[in-house]
Amino acid sequence: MIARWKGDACAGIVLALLGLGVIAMARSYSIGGAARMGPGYFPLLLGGLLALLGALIAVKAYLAAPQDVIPAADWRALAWVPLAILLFALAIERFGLVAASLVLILAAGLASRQTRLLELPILAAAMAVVAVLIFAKGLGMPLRIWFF
Amino acid sequence: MSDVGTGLLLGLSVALTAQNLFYCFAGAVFGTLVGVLPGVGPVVTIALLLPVTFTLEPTSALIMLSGIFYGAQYGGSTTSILLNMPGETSSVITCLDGHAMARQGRAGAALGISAIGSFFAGTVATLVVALFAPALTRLAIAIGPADYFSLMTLGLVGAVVLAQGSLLKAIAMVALGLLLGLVGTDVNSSVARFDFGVPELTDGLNFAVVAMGLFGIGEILTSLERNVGAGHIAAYGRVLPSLAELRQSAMAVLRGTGIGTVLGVLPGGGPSLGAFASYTLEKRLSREPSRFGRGAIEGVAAPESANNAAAQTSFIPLLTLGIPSNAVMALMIGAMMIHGITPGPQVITARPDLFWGVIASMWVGNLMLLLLNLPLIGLWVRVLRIPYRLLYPIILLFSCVGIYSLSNSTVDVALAAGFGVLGYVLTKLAFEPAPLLLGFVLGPMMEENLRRAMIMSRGDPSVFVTEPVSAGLLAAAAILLLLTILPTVRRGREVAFQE
Repeated sequence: MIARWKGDACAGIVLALLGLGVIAMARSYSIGGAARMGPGYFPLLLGGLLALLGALIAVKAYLAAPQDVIPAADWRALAWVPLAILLFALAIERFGLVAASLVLILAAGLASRQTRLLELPILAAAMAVVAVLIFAKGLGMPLRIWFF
Repeated sequence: MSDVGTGLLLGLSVALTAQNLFYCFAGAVFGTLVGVLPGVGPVVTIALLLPVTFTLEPTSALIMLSGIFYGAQYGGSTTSILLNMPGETSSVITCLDGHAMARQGRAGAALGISAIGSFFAGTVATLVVALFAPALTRLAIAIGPADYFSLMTLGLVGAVVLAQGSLLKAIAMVALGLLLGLVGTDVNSSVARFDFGVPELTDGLNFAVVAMGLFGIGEILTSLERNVGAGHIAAYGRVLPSLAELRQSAMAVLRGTGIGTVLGVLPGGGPSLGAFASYTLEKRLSREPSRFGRGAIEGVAAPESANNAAAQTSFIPLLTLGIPSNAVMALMIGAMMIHGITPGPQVITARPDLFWGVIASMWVGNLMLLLLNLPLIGLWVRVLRIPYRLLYPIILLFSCVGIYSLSNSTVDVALAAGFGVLGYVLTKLAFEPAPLLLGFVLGPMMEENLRRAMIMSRGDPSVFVTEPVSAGLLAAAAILLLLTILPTVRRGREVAFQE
């Protein structure tokens, strides 16, 4: 749990830094002039806008200081869901749809406190079959199914 | 007038072929089925089902997509009424009285009036689209790049004003979205921008990846944190509203249709604004306003009619100007581009069969939903009883396969995971992702029109206020923004979002 104003201030600072980064990158492309805009012109404007807004958000958070708090993050979900997706991305081309589906469902299942450990493998196996039937057979997508 | 008639006939001849009827039907069924799932709003539903349309030819694909679109809207209402879980902002209002009716065992009547009201609103709004879209197309060809730029500015301001919470945060999301839209090769100079040396990024970010990550995966993370369980659904009772209930809601349906039709056309407007405005109006006009929030059937009939009418007429700016007015339309634009159609004024002359076919299928799709959904309510209820612990891995799997199949790219899948975390963080910090998505789609168009306008004016920025159309649009945007900042209105807006 952190105070809402701290969260807002951090978000503002991150956005402002992002805006500055965009400005730096935009300057490495050619800027051109108003009548002949180069690829850096519009990003430069937007980067400036983002930096300004970020700063305003941070200042406003500090001045207004909203009293409420941001509830604590669920790190379990936040770790397992992206990891499951990345494992799917790694597996789909090398090991095929069946393996990718299995690994995705098994890893994703660990993200919830409600998951039942006996139920999960059954769900994974069933969904691997369903995925093959729908996407590879039904819709005819050119997907590798097995790893051989 | 007569060309509208011949156009509609042409459209019906396209929409009523056995093949297209089937795709419209399939789209409506799958759209509802996916849209019913808790936490899956129309944006995610469309992104999820998009790959299904890939193998079809463009007209059938668009017809199926609009079927999915209406199905998703309707599915969202079902979840709102039965579970009190709105999939998107336009269904939030429906929850108030819809779920109150469900708790009284009158969910069937609420779902019934929602389907009937939506069908009536859809029919009227389709006629409005058919009447006004061709005329607007002629207008659209006449306006210049400066006007386009200002129109998009107005649209973005509209999205900012409608966003919940801080105005500054919403504008920052627009700026971030516009920037994300610029990732990839600049068409004028062939310079790759913001690609960080990743070759997959030189073609730009895929809109479906951004939408699916921000809304789909982000929502799963948010729901897991809230530890959502299975839905508890009370008996839903009779599906058809009684005669007394129909009489009670008739005027609400009419007024909701009118409000929704008008507000849907506005850039940045769309379903949520229509639903909200019509609910407020019904409450004002009612002789017993205290009934609202406690299961008043007008409180379901009006916003449901309004959001469907607005969903329909928000196709007008898309089909005539090529400008999306909200996140869902932004997705539709991307979907059209995948099928090789650039939405804009040229579509009606270049592909009249497609233009009118889609308009006619809007009506056919609405009719199908009415005939289909009332008998199938039992099925949707069963879908809603699936516990979330089984549901979210399935949604994730379908999302991942869908994203991968967009362009057989594992980088896209990894990016979606990143956008999912971003979506979660934004929601957590009370930044709304919807303005970001709209900015993302408008980014390249805004840059291009800004560039053209400035070339034509030889670098003089005053062109935006000397061209009358552009000046008017910018003035409207400024007034809208000022109205929101003024303290009295701001208080009203806060109250409105809390209701």
